[in-house]
Amino acid sequence: MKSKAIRRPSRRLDTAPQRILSAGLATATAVGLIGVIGVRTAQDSAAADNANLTAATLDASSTATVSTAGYTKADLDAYAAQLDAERQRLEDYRAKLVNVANALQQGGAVRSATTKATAAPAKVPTAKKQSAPAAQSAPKAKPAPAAAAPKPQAKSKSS
Amino acid sequence: MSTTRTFRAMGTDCQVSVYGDASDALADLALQRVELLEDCWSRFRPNSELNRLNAQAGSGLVPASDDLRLLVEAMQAGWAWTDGLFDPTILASMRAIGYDADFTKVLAREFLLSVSVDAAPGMSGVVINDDAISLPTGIGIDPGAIGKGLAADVIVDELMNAGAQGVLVSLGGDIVIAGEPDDPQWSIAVVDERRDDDTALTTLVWDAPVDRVAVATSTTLRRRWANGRHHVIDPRTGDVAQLELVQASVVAIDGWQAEVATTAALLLGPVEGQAWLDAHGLQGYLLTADELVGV
Repeated sequence: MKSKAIRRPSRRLDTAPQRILSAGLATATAVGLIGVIGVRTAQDSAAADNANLTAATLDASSTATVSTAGYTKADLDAYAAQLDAERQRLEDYRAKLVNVANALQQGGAVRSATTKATAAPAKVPTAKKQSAPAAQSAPKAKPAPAAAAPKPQAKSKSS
Repeated sequence: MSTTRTFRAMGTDCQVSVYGDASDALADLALQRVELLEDCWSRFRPNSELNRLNAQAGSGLVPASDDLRLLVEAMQAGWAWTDGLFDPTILASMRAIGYDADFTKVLAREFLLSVSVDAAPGMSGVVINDDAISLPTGIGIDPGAIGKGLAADVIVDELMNAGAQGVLVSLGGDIVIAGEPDDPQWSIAVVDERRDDDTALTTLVWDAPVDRVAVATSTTLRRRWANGRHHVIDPRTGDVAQLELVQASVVAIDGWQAEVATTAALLLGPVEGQAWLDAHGLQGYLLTADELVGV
């Protein structure tokens, strides 16, 4: 059956970069590569056309101890900070959504979506975890005869 | 009570329609959510989380947000479901054939040299855990054939969970509906892409409410650029696909499934494509240049 499981709540990400850096450095130590092994420039990036992360976070003018993957602790800290900022934007959005949900549930007037969420959310909107589809099918559509076709609410077309 | 917003996002025309109380506030939030997802998943926004992940392929586990992990989970599921016909690891091919920027920029190019490409590496080496993703060295993932459908799924889910009576999200014509509109029926036109006037090939109707229905369309007749290239890559060769079908439109229960299924059907061709849709219980409309193959 197609999984309908609600996704696991995400854990905070602010310690992950440190864990990854530690693992990278430990590996480097084991193979004798610890030390200054150079700084990868933006031009060296494997995905040069999308290397803004590297360009934005890598101080090419300095040398530093780097992980085996070529990222300094500063890189990883900056990456974590960017992720944290994005997570905050998502949390703000969810708070507004919960606010609307609460207002709907209470049957009262809906306050502006920009106001803060109430303390006790009625429902926390979550996306489903995706897994391989199974036998569950969409309800069959009835193709309408051209002459009697209703005005469509939307058009499916290639983007 | 209903609110419809039309807007540009993800490089295409989009529509959100919300039915019921608070439709205005929920529609506004839907637009915010589209922006958040595009910021996370776009390959045309240099600082998107997806691009940052791609740039770190081969670096081991990279911290990843819920939204990015959701995308990559769906990619893995779609890849497995279609035995690799849907393969998001075609990013290198996409870049090689010149689809390396927003399509308006790609379109402005008149000529591109022929290029050498390789078969897509596939998703088997991609690792996803509770808070991170690892891409093998040399692998980049492209959300082009799944992202809009999945984004529509996410937004419809979230707005319905918040209490909407009905929601329609169309991102570039990949559509997901749920609940009930003000009318007693949902109706979605499937455009005949062989024509330039948005003429409907058929109009699909469902009695409301519906738990959820998705319709996606893919064609080789649009998004063409230098030397007649189009955006459907055959992952088995890594090159622009040579196809008998020019359009596939599929009805499924999720937007991402519908999108993935259109790619699989296009690549399989009229006979095998129809058989694949039938085997998976999917309603589809497959078009060659001359005829409608399946209904």
